Amino acid sequence: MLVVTFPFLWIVLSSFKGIDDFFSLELSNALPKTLDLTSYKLAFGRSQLVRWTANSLFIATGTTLLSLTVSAPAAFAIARLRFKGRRAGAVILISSYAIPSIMLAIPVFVLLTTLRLNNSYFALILLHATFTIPFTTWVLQDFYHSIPADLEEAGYIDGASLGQVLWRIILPLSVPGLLAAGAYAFIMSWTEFLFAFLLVQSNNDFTAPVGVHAFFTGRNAGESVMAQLMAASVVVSLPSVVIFAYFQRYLVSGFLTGAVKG
Amino acid sequence: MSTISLNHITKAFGHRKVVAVNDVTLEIPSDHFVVLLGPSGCGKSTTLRMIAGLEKPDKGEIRINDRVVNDVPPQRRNLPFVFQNYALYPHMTVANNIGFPLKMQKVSRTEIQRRVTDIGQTLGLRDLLERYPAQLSGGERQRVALGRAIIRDPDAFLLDEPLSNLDAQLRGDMRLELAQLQKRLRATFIFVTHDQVEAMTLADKIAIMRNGVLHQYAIPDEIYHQPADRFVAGFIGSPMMNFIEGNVEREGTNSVLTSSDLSITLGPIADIPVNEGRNVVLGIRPEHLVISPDGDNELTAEIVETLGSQSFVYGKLGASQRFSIEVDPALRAVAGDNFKFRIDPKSLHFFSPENGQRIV
Repeated sequence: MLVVTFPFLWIVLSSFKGIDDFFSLELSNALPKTLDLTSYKLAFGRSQLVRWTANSLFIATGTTLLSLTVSAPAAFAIARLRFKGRRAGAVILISSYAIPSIMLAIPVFVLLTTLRLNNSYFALILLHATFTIPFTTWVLQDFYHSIPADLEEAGYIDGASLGQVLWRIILPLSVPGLLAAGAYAFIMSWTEFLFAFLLVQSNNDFTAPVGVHAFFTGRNAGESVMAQLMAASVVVSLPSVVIFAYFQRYLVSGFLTGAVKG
Repeated sequence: MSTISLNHITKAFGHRKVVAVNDVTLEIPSDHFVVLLGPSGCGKSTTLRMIAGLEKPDKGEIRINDRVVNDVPPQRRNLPFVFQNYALYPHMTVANNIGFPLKMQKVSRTEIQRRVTDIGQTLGLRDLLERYPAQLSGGERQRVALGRAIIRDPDAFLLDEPLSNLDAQLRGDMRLELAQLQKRLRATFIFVTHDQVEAMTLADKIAIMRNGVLHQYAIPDEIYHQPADRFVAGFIGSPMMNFIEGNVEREGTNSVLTSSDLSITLGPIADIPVNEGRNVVLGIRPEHLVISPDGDNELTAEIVETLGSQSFVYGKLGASQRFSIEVDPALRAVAGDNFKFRIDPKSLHFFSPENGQRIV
C-alpha cells in the first residue's frame, strides 16, 4: 500500500512545501513544516490550470456520456440478442482495444486535420471514445450476462417491447455496471495525453495533463516550476482520486465480472 | 376459454441441431390442468416456451383458439408465464411487480392499484406490497409471481417448474393452493414438472415426454394403470415398476415367465393375455404383488425401506434380477427375511422387448 501510494503522497507533500524546503536534501525537511500554499498560488496564477481542468472535465464528461450511450445498447446486443456476426463483432471490438494508440497517432492527426477538426473538443471526445467504447462495451456486456435472461423474458411475457424491457428492466438493474463503466471511461479520458497533446495547439484549449506537461516546456518554465508542477499535479489528479474512491466498489465488481467471464 | 393445440411441433437448438422437441402433437382443452412431465432435458420446458412465444418452432403449428400463433410475439399472446426462479423484477416493489403487466397495457394508475390490492388480498400478500423481492421468502416470491400472472385475467397460465425451488412442506401447501386457484379461476393451466407426485395430484391430463418425444398423453389414472410404453411405466410410480425380460411358457395350468436364471409364476393361463413362446418384458408394480404364505414366488430382502405407512423390500430374483415388493409395515421386515408372494394377473403389464411399446 505504502509503495503504491508513495509517489502520490510525495507529490502531495511536496506541493505544500516552501520553495526552500522543496529542494532540500535534509531528512528533517521531508515533511512540510507549515501548509505553504505558495506553489498552488503560483500554479493557478501563472498558468491556466482552472481553464485546463474545466476543458478536461468537459471532454471527459462528453466522452463518458458518448461511451455509455453507444456501449450500453451495443453491449446488450452482444450479450443477449442473436444475430449474424455477433461473435465476430465482439472479437473485433476487443481486438481494437489491443491496437496501441501511438500507432494511430499520425493517421488520426492527418484525418482530423483534413476534416478541419483538429484543435476542437469535439475531435478529442470522438478520439477518446474510440478507445473507451470498446472497453466499456466489454465491461457492460459481461455485466449484462450476470442479469438473468428470465427477467428480460418476463418483461416480454408481461407485454413489454424490447425498448421497454431495456428501459424499465435492464437499465435500472445495470446502474452499478454503468457507474463502473462510466468511471473507467471518465478516468481514461481524463488521463489521456497523447492525442490531446497532438491535436490541441492553443494554450487555452489544453487538457489538464497537457497543461501540466506545459509546465516543463512552456513559458512558465523556470526555477520554481517543480513545486508548481507538484501543486498542479495534485489538482489535476484530484478528480480521478475522488471518482476512484467513490466508485471503488463498482469498479471492483466491474473488474471481477470481467475477470471471471471475460 | 382457451384451447391450445400443438400440431407436429419440432424444435432444434445450436449449430449441431440438437432436437429438443420432436414432432409433438398435443391438444390442451379449455379449463384443463395439463402437466408436461419428464426427466431433465426431455423438451417439456422448450414446449412450454414455444407456447409462450419465447421460442419459435422449426416445424409445426401452435394454435390458440384455432388461430395460428407461430409468429405472434409473447407480448401479444396474453399467456402469463411463471418462471422456475420466479423472475421478479428486483428493483420493483411487490405491488409494482404485480402491476407491471397492467402498466404495459396502459391501464390507469388507480385501476392498477385497485387490482393489485385485490390480488394482494387473495394471495395473502397484503402486508408485503411495499417490500422488494429480496426481502421475501421463497413461498412469498412464488405468490408474487402468481399474482403477476393472475392480474391480467388471462384464459391460460403457463408454469415452468414453479414449485421446484420450495422446500417439501411449502411445496405441498402450494400444490394445494394451485389446485384451488385453478378451480376458482376456471382457466387452462399448463404446468411443467419433473415431479411425478405433482403431476399425478394436479393434472387433469399428463403429457409424458422423453428426449423431445411425447410418450403418452392421458389422464393420470390411465398413465398409471395403462402406461403406453416401458418408459412411462418406469417413470411413474415409486419405487419403480419391476421389469423382467423373458419367455412366456406353460407350466401345468399356469403361465410362467422364464429367463436364463429365473422362473416366475404369473397365474392361470386363461388370465395371461400373452401367447406362449413369446418374448416379452413383464412389468409389475411393487404395490401390486400380494404377500402370501402360499405364494409361488419368493424374494429374500436385502434392503428394507420403511416410510411409516408403507414399507418396501428390495432384493434379487434369481441371480441378478432386481426386484421390489411393498409389504405391510406391521410385518417389521428386516434384511434377510424371506417373502413368498403371488402375482395378480390383472395388474401385469407386458411390453415389447424391441421397442418398449405396451403389448396388451
